[in-house]
Amino acid sequence: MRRGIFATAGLGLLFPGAIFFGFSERPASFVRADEGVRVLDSQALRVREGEPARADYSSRVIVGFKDSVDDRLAERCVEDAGGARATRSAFARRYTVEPMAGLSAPALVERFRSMPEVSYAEQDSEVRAHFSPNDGLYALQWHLKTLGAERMWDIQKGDPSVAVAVIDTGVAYEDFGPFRKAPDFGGTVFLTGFNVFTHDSHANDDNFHGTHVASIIAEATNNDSGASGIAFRTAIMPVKVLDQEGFGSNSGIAEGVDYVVNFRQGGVNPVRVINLSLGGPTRSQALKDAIDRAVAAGITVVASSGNDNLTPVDYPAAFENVIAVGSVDGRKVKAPYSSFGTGLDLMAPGGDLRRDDNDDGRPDGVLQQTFDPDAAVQGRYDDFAYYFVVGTSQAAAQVSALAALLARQGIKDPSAIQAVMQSTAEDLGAPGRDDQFGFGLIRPAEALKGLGLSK
Amino acid sequence: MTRHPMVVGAAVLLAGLFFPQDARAGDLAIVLDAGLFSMSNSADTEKAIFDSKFGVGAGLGLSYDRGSRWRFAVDARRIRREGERAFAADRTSPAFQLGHPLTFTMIEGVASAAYRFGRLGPVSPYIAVGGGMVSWKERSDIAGLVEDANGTSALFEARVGFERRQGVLRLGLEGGIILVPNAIGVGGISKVYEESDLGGVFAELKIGFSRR
Repeated sequence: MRRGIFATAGLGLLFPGAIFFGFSERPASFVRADEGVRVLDSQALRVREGEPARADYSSRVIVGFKDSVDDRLAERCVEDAGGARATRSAFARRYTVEPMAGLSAPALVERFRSMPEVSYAEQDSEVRAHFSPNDGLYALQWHLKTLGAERMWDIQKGDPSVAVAVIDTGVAYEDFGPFRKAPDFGGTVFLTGFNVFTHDSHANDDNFHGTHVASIIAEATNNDSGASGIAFRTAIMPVKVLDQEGFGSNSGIAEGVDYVVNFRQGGVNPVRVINLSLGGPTRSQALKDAIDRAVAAGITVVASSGNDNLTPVDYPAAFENVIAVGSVDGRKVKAPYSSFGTGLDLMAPGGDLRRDDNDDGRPDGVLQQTFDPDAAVQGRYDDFAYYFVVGTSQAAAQVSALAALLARQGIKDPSAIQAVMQSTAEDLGAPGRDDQFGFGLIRPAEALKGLGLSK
Repeated sequence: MTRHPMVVGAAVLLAGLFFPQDARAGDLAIVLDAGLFSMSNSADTEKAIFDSKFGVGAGLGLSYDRGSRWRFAVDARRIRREGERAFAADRTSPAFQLGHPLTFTMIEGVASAAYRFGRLGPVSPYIAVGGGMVSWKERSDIAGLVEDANGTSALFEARVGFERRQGVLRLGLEGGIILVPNAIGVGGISKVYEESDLGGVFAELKIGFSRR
C-alpha cells in the first residue's frame, strides 16, 4: 500500500457554476495494488464458455445404493422401480436411471426412496459452465462478485456497436505526445473523442480518474492480464471536460454532452450511455438542456450522487432524467461518503478502503487500471498500475456499464433502462425506495433477464 | 399439466361408451381441427412477447349429434407460440424484446353444446358455447438457464361456424372467442400491462368423420 492519498471522494463547489473532484487528506482511500497480488492460478479461472447443455437432465434420476447391495441386486431394484435404462458410475455404486415410458422422474424417485436397499434417490438436473475471466486480478475485484458478474456475462458481455461516453478527465486511450494508451485497453474499442479544452479529438487523461472509470466499464477482459471490465466489449468514447486537477465547468460538461449527442459514425450514433462521474451542488440550465437533448436522443445518462455524504445529491445526478447512483461497501451498507436524498435512484459497489469485508487482505476499493496520479502531476502519463479507488464515481460507472449491456440486449429507451434496473434492484434499507439507497443495489443478471409472459 | 387432457380423454372415452347405444338417434363423429388462435384479450402482452397476432393450434375431439339441431362435443387442443422475453417500463410504454427465447404452450380441454340452424344453401350454420380447462406452460431460455412457469385455469368459449356434410365427411369453418380470465397478470409482462386473460379470438378448420 502506498502513502495515503484520497482520490475521487471529494466532489464539491469552489465557486458557483464550477464543479470539481479532488484529493483530500483522508488516509488510505486510494491504493495501488502491489505486485504481490498476482498470485492467482489463472488456469483455475480459465474460461469454460461451452455451449449450454441441451439435454433434459431433469428427466433422469440419480440413485445411490447402500454398501451392502451388490450390483446384481442394485440392477434388479432399478428394474423393479421402473428404470428403462441405467448407467452405473465407474467410481461408486451410483446409477443414473432413465424412467420407463409413462413414468416421471419424480415418481421414479419416490419408488426408489421406498426401497430399503437405496441410500438416496434424487432427480438429476442441469448445470452449466460459467464465464469466469482469466484476468489475474479478477479475484480481487470484489465489486464484480457483488454484482454477480459471471451470470451477467453468461447473458451479455456488450458489443462495440453500443458505446458509453465517459465524460471525465479523459481516458488513456491512445499514444499521443506524452500520453500513453493504458496496457489493459488492448482489446477495447474507442470512438473518436473530444477535448473541450483543446477543441480537438485528443481526449487524453492527465489526471487518472477518467481512465479508472473507463476501465470499470470496458477494461480488456479475459486476456490473461490485469483486471476485468463489466461491459468489456462495449466501445468507449472519451470526452475530456475536467482538467488535470479534476476541475471543470457546467458549460464544459454541457459542451461535452452536446458533442456526444451530435456524434455520428456511419450515419448513426452508437453512444447509448453517458457516464458522468462528477458533480456539484449548482443547478445549470445549460447542462440540463444538454442532458434533455441526450435523453431525447435515446441516450441514458448516469451520474454519481457525490462523495460528501450530503443531501441532496449533486447535479447533474439530481436532474430527474439522470440516473443518480450512490455507493455501497462490501456488506451492501451505504458507504460513509455516499451522498443521498430524494434524487437518489440506485446503488452500486463503490467500496470503502477502510474495510476488507471479503477478507482478501486488500482494502475494499474498486480495482482497475489507471496511471499514477503523482507521476501525472510531473507530466508522466505512462506509469500504469492497478488501483483500488472508492467513490460514487466508481459506482456510477458500474451502472453505466449495465445500461450499455441492457441497450445491447435490446432495451432502447432510457426510461425503460432505468425502470428495469430499478425494478430488479435488491431493495436495501427501508422497504421500497428510500433516500439512503434509492431503489437499491443493481442486479445485472436479473435486469438482463427481462420479463416473461407471466413471470 | 397432464391432468386436464386426461380429463378430456376420459370424457371422450365415456362419450364413446355411451353414445353408440343411442346411435340410431344420433351421430357420432371424430373431429380434427387446426387453426389460428390469438391472445387478443391480452393484446399488449401478446405483442410484447410474441410480436404476432396469432399462434397455431391443433386438436382432436368427439362430437355427437342429437337430432338435427343439437350437437355435443368434447375437444382437446394444443396451441404453441414462440416469442422472446421482453421488458416494458409501465403499461403505457412500448415493450422491448430481449432475445431470450420463450415458448408458451396451452392445452385446452373443452366440452361444448352447439345449436344448428337450418340449411343455408350447401352449409349449415351453427353457434356453440363451451367450457373447460386450460393448462399452460411458459418456458424461457436465458443464456442456457431454463425458467418455467405454469398454471391451470377455467376456460369459456363461444363459437359460430358453418358446416358442410358430404357423406361421412364433415367440413367446418368456425370462429369465436375464448375467455381464460385471471390466468396471468400476477407477474411478468402481463403484470406490467395489467392484463390477465389468456384467451382471444380464433378461427379454425374442422374435419369430421361420422359413422353415417
